Amino acid sequence: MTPTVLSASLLGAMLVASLLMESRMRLTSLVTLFRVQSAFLGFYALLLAYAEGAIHLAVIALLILALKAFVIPEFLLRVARASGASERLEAYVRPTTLSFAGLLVVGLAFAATNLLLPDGHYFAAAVSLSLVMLGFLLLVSRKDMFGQGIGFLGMENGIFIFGLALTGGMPLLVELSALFDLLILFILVAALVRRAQHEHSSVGTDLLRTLTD
Amino acid sequence: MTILALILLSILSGVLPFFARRFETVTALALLGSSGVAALSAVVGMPALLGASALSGGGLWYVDPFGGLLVLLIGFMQWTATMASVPYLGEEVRKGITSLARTKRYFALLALFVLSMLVTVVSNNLGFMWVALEATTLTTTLLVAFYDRKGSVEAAWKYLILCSTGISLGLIGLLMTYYAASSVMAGGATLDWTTLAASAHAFPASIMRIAFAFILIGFGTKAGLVPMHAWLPDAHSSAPSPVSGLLSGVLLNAALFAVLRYKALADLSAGGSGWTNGLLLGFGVLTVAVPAAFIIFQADYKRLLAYSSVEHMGLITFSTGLGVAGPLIAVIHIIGHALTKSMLFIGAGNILHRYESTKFANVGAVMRVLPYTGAFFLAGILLLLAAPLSPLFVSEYFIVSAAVATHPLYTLIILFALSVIFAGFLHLFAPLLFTAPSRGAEALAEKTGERWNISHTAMLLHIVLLLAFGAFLLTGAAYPLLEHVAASIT
Repeated sequence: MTPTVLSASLLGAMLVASLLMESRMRLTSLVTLFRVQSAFLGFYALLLAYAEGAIHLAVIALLILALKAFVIPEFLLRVARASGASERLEAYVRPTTLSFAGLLVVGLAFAATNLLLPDGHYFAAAVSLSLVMLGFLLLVSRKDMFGQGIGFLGMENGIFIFGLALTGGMPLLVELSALFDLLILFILVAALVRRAQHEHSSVGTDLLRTLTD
Repeated sequence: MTILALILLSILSGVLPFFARRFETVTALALLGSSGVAALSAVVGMPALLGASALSGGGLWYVDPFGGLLVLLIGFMQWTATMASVPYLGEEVRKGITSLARTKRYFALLALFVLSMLVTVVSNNLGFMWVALEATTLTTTLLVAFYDRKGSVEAAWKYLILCSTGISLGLIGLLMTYYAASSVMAGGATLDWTTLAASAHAFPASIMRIAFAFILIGFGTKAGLVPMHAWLPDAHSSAPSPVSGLLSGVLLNAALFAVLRYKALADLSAGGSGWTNGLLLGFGVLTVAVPAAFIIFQADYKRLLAYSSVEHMGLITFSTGLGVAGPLIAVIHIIGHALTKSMLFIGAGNILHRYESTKFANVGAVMRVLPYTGAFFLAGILLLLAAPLSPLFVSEYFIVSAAVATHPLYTLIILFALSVIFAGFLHLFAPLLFTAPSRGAEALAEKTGERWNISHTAMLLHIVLLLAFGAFLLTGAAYPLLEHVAASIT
């Protein structure tokens, strides 16, 4: 396969992974899909690094693989097991409805990209916007901290594609600090998950609805 | 050089308290560290405020007069917040709410929070500015979740997820700016703001327009703009009071500062400010009007102060969209609101500790029970409601006179919202200050009286500064300096 075909199939695979994530209602399968997606993202960055001969992109790619495909998912699963959180996830609507909504969102993202950035990088930009919107959908449709956290990570993956495809990545130091921020963020997520599990014996956000006016 | 020293000192002042074993030593070291940070902030901020913009650190740092002003505000307010933290945490350690270990963690997080705000406003590189802005969320999440109270986890979770999502959307805006730059800049694009600004006139305007929309929605979440403000009342009311003051007083402005950096680029590329001003005015009006409804029926005084911060961010955002006169008004309002709000939160902390409740229903006769805090709180409320001699009086007067001819409908909505808020404040705070609470009135008699402590000194410092600034605004001498600061915003 030529690099363009390969990169297009990697992008397509990430899109499919995000769509499948919408309807997953078990923690392990949701995390596994996220891992697969992150691995594809890492390979995509490696491919770009190879095509452009950019060493700093290769460094970023390896860090993405290490951090998003291994460290963060493993960390989340470990926290879930250690705190005794339920394997079952919850959503406001049924999984089939979520899948359908996901498809609509993808259509919308492709149409919007056509309006906003019609020139070059169309497919990558459209996939990236789809991932951001699908991640956002996951974030707002889930009723538990794990689903919301992984929705956020899905958004981040979409933004990463955007950065890689359109600009060939930001300067190395900035990318590194951004990944560091992400790591700290997930340490905080884990800390809050543990506290919620300790206080309410649940990570459901239904119980986090007391502060209203 | 001085900026690097400031950064190192902030880190040091976070580490220092860990070397102490007693509460008194911990707070003394924290005070020492924050005094140093305040002094160095003055060294960094003052020359920039009074003189010209300066690049330093090989193009890594850029402090213009507006950035210098924010450095000064951050430096001063983290100092008074640390002062107020001493009796605040002392009381909690005495009551057994907080342990000594948590006190150390508190000061460490506070120092890191201050550090991330400082880096946000002195970064020339937009990438590092983004990283630092995200770091402000990360460092304060554990401060929002500081207490084991019901609702703290909820507030912290909402804060972390909503703000991080917002900042991520801001990253899309940042990447689009980078993309726009790479399409025109020979020899590769950069994220240095000064370099970008020099060639921004050639950026494709259509891309910069979308980029600015992403930035405004993304960073606007962090600045508390309606409808992305849902996290703000929860987070600001759950945090320890001195921290709430910093969150409301300076952090929101640091986020808005980042938005204004991109506004300058978008305006240059479009050759005019119609698009950005339209968005800022629209979000501004919404952000003033919606909190009014939540203020008049508010049951919790810390939440009320948080909603009032949303309203004031709306006024500042609105004024930045007003064109030529806008930046000057925004500068006055930022100074006035920052100093007033953080002082009120310090006062709210004293009230909270005496009555052990943040509900209006459980608090009353503060003027009699806490004479110093009550008097300062009353002064603060009057200053916040823009009674004359308050800097906010001047800025709100300017907002109305600048906007009434060009945006009559917006001005009308703002005036209506301001009068509702005025009524809400008087209706809620007059009983709080002057009449006994509906519950627990008999227990009140033995609680009466307070001794002057360092938190009162902090509040008094704020009031003196506010009145001096208000009086300064009435003389013509203030305007050349303020114009100088405002000129660096557009």
